[in-house]
Amino acid sequence: MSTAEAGADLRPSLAANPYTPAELIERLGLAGSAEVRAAAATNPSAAPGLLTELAVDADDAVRRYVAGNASCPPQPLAKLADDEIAQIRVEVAASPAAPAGVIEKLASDADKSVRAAVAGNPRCPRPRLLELATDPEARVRHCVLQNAEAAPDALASAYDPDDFMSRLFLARNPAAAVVSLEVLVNDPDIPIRLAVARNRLASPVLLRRLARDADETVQTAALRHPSCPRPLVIHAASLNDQALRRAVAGNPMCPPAELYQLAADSAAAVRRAAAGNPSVPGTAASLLAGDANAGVRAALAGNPSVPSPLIAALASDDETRVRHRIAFNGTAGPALLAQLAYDGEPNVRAGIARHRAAAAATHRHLLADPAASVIESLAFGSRHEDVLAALAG
Amino acid sequence: MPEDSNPWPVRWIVDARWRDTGFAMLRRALKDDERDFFEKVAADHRIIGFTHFGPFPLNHDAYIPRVKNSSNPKAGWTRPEVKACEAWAHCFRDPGRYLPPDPPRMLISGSDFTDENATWKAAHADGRPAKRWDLVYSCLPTWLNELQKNWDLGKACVLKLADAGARIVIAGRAGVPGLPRHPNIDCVPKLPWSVFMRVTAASRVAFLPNWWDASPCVLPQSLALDVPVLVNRQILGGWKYVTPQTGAFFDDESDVVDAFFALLDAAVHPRDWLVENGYTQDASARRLAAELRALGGSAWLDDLDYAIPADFRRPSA
Repeated sequence: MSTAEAGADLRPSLAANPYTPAELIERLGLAGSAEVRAAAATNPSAAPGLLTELAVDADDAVRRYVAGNASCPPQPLAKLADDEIAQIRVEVAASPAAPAGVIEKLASDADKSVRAAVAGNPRCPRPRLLELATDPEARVRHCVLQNAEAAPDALASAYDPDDFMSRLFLARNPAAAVVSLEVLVNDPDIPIRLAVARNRLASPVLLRRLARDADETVQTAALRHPSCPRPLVIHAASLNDQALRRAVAGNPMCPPAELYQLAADSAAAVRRAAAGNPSVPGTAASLLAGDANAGVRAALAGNPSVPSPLIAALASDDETRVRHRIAFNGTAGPALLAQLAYDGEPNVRAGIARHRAAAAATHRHLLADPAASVIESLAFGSRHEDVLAALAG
Repeated sequence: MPEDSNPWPVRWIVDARWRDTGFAMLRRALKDDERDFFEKVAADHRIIGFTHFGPFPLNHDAYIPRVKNSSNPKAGWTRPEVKACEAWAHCFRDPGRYLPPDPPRMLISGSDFTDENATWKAAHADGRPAKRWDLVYSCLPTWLNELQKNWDLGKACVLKLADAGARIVIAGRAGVPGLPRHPNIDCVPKLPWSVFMRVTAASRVAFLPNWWDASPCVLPQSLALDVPVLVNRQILGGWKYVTPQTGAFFDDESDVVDAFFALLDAAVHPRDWLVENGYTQDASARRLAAELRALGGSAWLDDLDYAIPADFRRPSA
C-alpha cells in the first residue's frame, strides 16, 4: 500500500520520516526515483552509510540535500565542499556539522554565496568572520550582520548605517550591541523598529520605548516580548485598546492576575490569546474551557500547559476545530488519542495519525482509514515500524 | 524573438499571437544603465506602469538605495519614467496612497496572469504528491526577498506554528543565517520552479507573511494547485485573492496558529475560485485588453481582445 489513492506516492514521506528503519528506506526504490532519494537525504536519522552513498549521487539536488543534512558525517561533507555546484558548497558552508578546516577553506571561495554562508555560520572562526565583514559583496557583509555569534568588531566592520538592509539585519541580531539597538529604536522605518522589538535579547529599556511607539505593530510586538517591563504589561492589560490587550494576553510573562482578567475580556481575540498562553493559570483555563466562542476553546485545546482533565473534557467538544487542536497537542496522552482515532472528522484522525504519542495499536487501526489525509499523515508522522512497513508494502 | 537581455523593469505587452500591441510596461524605477533602453521603447510605445516592486512608484531607500529623500516617498512620482506612464495597473487596496493622482488606474497585477494549467501540470507530472507538510513558505536569500517575504515575521510565526505541531517546509533559506532549528521545520534550498510547485502541492497551506510584496505570483499559483493560503493582512498586493473560499488573513505571530487551524477546518475551493473569478492567464489577458481599449487613442485598439505582459514579442500587428 505505497499509495493512499491513485497518484499519491507515499515513498518520499516514508523516506523522510526519521522513524523509518534504514532497511525499509533501502526497500523504497531509491535507485528509481530522485524524489525518494532526495527525501531520504533530508532524513535526520539517515544512516551514515546511506548519506555517504547519496553524497556522490548523480542528481545535484540529492547531493545538495545531503550537504544540508546536519547529520551528514564529516568525510562526505568535506568531499561535498569541493563540489562544482556552488549551491552545494553553500549548504556545506552553512552546515552546523562542517569541520573547522572546511569552513576555513570555504571562507575564501570565489562564489559570493558560499562566502556569505560561511559568514552566517555561527561556527565561523572569529578572524575569518572579521575578514568577511569587509568583503566587497554586500550579501556577505549582510550575512555577518545576521550571525548570532558575531563579535562586536565584526558587526561594527560590516555595518553601514546608510544601508536599509544593514540596519534591518543588525536590528534583529541578538548579538547586536545595546548602543546600536538604542540608535535603531529611533529609526524612521517601521520594519527596523519592529525588528528590534522582535529581537530575542532586546533589553527592557528598549522595549519600554518601543511599547510606546507611534506605530501599533511595533507597540504590540514590544508588549508581546517576554522582557517587556511588567508595569507596562499590567497597564496595557487595562487599556481600552483591543490590539494592546491581545498582545499582553499572549505574553508568557503576563502576571496571573492580568491573565485571569484577560480570560474574561469582552473581545474573543483577547480571550483566544489568553487561552493559548503557556502561562495561563488553571482557574483561567477552567473559565476559558466553557467559553461560548469555539475559537477560544480551540486555542485552549492546543495549549500544552493546560491540565489533562480539561483537555479530556474538550475532546468531547461538538466543534471539530476544538478536537482537531487536541490531535496536535503534544501533551495529549495515548488513551485520549486512541479515543480520537475514532472521530468522525478526517482532519482529527489525520492529526492522530501523525501524533508521536499515539500507541502502535492506534496507528494500526488508522491503517484502514478511508481518508487519504489520514494515510498520508501516518507515512510522514508515525513512529511505529510495523505501521511504516505496512505503508511501504 | 527572445529579448532576454532587456532590463527587468521594461516588458512588452503582446497579443494572443505574441505580437507587439504598441504598449509596454514599466515595473520599477530605472537604474542609470537602463534608461537608454527605456527611452527607445517609450519613443514608439505607450507605457503602462505595473506595480511589481514593493511600494513603487513611491520611493523607499530599501528599494532605491541612497535615495536620501525617503521621508518624501512621493518624490518617486517625479521620476521621468513614472511621468511617462499613461495609466497604472496596480495591486493596492489604497491606490491613492501609492499612485500619482491623474493617470487612469486598473486593478491588475502580473500575478493575475497565472497559467493555472501549466502550474497544475508542473506539480503533478509524476502523479499527485502525498501531503507531507502543513505549510510551505518561500523566501529566497536575497535582500529583496528578506524584505518582501518578511522573514522577521515569517520566522516568528513559523516557530509558533511548529511548536503547535504543524510541519513546515521553508524553501530558499538553506544556507542562510538564523534558520529556526525545530524538528517540525524542513529547510530546503531554492528549488526549480516545477519542484517548488510540487512541494507546494505536497503542502496543505501556503504561508505568506509577506508585507511589502506587490502581489506575489506564488499566491495565485498555490490557488491553482488547490492549496489555500494564509496571508499577512498587511500584504501590499494579492489581498484580492484571499476570500473564505481560498484562505485566510492573519495579523501577527499571536494569531497565526489559530488562523492556520481554522483554515485547515474550513471548506475551501481555491482552484475553482481562481478560475471562476477570472484570475487565470486567458481571462486576465482579456481584462487587460479591455482596460487598454478603454484608454482609447488608436483605432486599431478596437480589435485588441487579448493583452499579456511578455519577455519577448513578435513584430507589430
